[in-house]
Amino acid sequence: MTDNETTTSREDREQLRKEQEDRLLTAWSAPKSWRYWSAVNNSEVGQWYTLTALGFLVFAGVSALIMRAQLAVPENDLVSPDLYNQLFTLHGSVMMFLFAVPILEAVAILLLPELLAARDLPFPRLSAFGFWCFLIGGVFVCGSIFFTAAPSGGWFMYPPLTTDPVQSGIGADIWLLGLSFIEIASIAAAVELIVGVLKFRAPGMRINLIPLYAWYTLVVGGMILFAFPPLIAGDILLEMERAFDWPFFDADRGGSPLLWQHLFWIFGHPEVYIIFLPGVALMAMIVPTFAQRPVVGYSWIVLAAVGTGFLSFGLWVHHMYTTGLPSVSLGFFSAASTAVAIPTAVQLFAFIATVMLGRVVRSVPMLFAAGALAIFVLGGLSGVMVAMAPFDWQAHDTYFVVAHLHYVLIGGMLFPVIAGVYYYFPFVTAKALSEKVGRIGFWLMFVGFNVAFLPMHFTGLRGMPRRVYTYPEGLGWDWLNLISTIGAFTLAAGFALIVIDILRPKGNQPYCERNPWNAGTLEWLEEMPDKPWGVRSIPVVKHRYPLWKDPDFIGKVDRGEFYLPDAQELRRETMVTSVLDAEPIQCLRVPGPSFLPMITAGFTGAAFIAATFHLYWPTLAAGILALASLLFWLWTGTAEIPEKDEKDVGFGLSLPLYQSGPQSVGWWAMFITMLGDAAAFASLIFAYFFYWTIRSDFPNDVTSEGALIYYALGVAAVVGTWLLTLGARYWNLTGAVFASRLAMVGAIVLALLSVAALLAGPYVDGLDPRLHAYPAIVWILALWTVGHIGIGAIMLAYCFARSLAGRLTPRYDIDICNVTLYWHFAAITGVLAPMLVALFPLAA
Amino acid sequence: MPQKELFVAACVGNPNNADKFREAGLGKTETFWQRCIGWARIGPAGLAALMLVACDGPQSSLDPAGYDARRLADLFWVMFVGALVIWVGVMALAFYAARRRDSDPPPEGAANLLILGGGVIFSIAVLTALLVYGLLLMGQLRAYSGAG
Ligand code: HEM
Repeated sequence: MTDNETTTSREDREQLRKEQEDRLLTAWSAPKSWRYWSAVNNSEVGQWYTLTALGFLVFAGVSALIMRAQLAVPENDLVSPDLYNQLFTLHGSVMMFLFAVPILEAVAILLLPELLAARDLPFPRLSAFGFWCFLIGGVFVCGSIFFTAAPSGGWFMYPPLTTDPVQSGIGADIWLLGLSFIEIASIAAAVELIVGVLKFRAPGMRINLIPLYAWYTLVVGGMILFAFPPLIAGDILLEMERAFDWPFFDADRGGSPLLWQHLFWIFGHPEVYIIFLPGVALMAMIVPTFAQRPVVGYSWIVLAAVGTGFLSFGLWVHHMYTTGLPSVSLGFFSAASTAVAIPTAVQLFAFIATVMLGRVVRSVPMLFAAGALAIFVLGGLSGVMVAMAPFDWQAHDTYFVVAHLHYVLIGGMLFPVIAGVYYYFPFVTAKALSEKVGRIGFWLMFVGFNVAFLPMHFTGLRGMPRRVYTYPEGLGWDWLNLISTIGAFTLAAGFALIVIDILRPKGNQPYCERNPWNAGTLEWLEEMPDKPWGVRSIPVVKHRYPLWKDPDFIGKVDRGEFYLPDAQELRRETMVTSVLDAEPIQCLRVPGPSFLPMITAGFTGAAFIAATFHLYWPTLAAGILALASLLFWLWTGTAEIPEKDEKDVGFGLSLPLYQSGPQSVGWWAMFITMLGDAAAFASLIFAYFFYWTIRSDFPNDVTSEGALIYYALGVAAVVGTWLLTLGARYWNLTGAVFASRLAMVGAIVLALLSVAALLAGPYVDGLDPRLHAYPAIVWILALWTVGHIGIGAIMLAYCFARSLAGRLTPRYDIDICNVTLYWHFAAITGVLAPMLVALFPLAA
Repeated sequence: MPQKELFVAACVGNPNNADKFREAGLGKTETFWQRCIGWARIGPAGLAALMLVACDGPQSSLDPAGYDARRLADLFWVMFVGALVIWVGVMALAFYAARRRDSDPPPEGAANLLILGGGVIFSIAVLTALLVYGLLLMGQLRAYSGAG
């Protein structure tokens, strides 16, 4: 009797499990055939992203080989000087912007949800949008070389070389607009990843239990958020100078080429750590697995990573030691530059300590990790050398620097990435890469790399400048260069082997067993082959290495013994938790496949590309289409009103399906995006004060009384808009829907008035932006401000329409909450910028 | 420069080089250890010679002709030797950690000591010393050349 009962209940359970799995499968399966390209799930998008970034690596690698072939012997004429310039510029830019940063975002998109036991990222369509932007922009920038129209001013694009239309041609525009477009995609991915780490962790995963990879992702995301905006601000200024002759960098008309160097390196130096830290993050996952023990010094590592992130923003001047800065600055930045070596050393020693306490399992990922250590440490040491300003006076712009930067980048990024490819290949494809090919590939790459780049230190010390297309015989560079070229081709051969192994069809190769490396972290919960739902049920996490702690952990997850084991409504659902303690606060429905991100990216790309060729009407048309598709996407795909308030997620826990304000992921995304936006605004303000510190003719005009009145009106209208927006949110919440709508309309009207007033200010003063850097920067600040107010007005109009359509109600008020948050920031911009522009000239 | 000659002799087929090799203990019949010792004897000299060969040249910053250049070359050599020693040290440590085969691992305290000692104390000490040297040098050079 009892026997019978257990059998039936077991059968019931099996039956239930089967049904649950069917429902999850329906909800999460990737679309089929041509619709496959509408996929937005992190596994598909992550794979496309990774493969595309690897494709750009191959492209940039081939350009490097052509350069090395050209440099093999003196007075070579394989490529022309101009083509050589294009090659090194593209090589550097593609490696940095299209390979290094994207690959790490790609890997994070792929890994992060599984690592946190979430089913997707918070904004799947945003990742898809980022991917399509990346693909379009990248192909556009790389394609230019086939028309010998590629940028040729070096990857840091220094003016005045790059503002001279004859010297630079269309290439500089391609660089500025093509890459800005991609930088926006990078920022979008960063927002996505930050919100992911903050809000998508498995219940119970408090901040001291977060996997190190996720910590690094958080730090790097934050760095992208503050590092890219200065570059975007710089790009805007440079492009304005190129397209409309606004003299920001022209010393004859009140500008300064040094401003570009500052803006570029405020971005460029953190960039190096943005590239390097994710490499360390991969090591932080690989090393404990193969040492078969938890990482030693978890808190040290987290602290060091955060410290590196902060310090890296204080080093940029070490790229400018030879620009004639005062000794005090040089001393300060020398000290800061050496200081950053300390947290780096802490992280590396923590890994060595982990290995020491563990028992190492030899494997290809570990081999690459060891190679990375050997290379990176050397790069770090030569970095300390060039951090000494006096030594840098000698080494600056020589091959010593080329050697140094490749040691850092290849040791800090390329080798860890390949280690990661070997480690995570089974995770993505459920098949393993060949161990033997891996070892041969490693040794070819490792030896080839050192043969190529070690001699370059000496080539540089013996006086060979970087970025020269050829050199005369007899200066002592001939043999060294030949050796470097041989090494580069050896390195390439090793890499090619690995690529072949990655691409080789693996049809009859058996699947890996589950958790093939016997790792301890959550991403290895995954079945082999992988199921589209990510995790079968969302576990409660109480340990840093749950798979090691509890041998039956995988079993429990599989049997659906944790949260959300089902998809009753056939929707894609995952859990949102609180920022610090990861307590469950919402069951979030994430959107499924859609072509809208692709279409929006297409129009946005078209706008940027048309602008490159100065086709302003098509730019405008494409821009309007992009905005329309964006609004359509938001309207149909976001802030959806659920059919019920709450949902039972298991364990008797019922979670709301809708949250707004700081509880919702959308609010966090807006907040984080606006921090980045504020960073760009701060960069423009920095530019204003920079001119003032170095030029006696700045400002070269005083604000007239008439203009002052306009500025004052503008500021008053901005404040009014902000207050009305606050009112709209408040009245909506309290149910006074009509008052709320009225406030929205009033806010829009005031916003438009403020736009007119703020433009009238510089206009009545007769400021001509082509005459001097002062009027130019005033106009840029004015345009920046009214641009933000204009976008804010569109947002308010959107809310108004949503309210009329019944999609924004007192209970369901995400839209107006997020728009209010936007207006907090826009109001700060709208008050600060006009006050600065109007009053500073009077005070100065 | 005797080291340079020795190195060149060892590499470039001087009629005597077979003798030199044998003198240095690099014959075929030696055991592995003997050969290692031989290389250890000839190695540093060879390396130093290689460095010297690699340093000259009309544009070389390591073939200094003026006061500033000489001081900077000194700075380079100090940093070069320091970097080499640190690199070898870190590599040796990593190798030891990976190859360690004794049954019970060192206590966690040792690991923390390593992180603190190597990552924090050692690096701060070395970097401070270097920074003081570098900045003093910068002051002197700028004063000397009348800049800054
Ligand atoms: C695959 C092996 C690589 C080879 C053989 C190689 C070779 C070269 C060469 C020959 C140059 C130009 C030197 C000059 O004329 O000044 C260069 C520059 C550069 N490389 Fe690489 N490189 C490789 C990998 C990488 C990687 C992985 C990165 C970054 C992630 C990278 C980033 C750069 C940068 C930023 C520059 C400076 C470009 C400029 O001067 O504007 N390289 N590389």
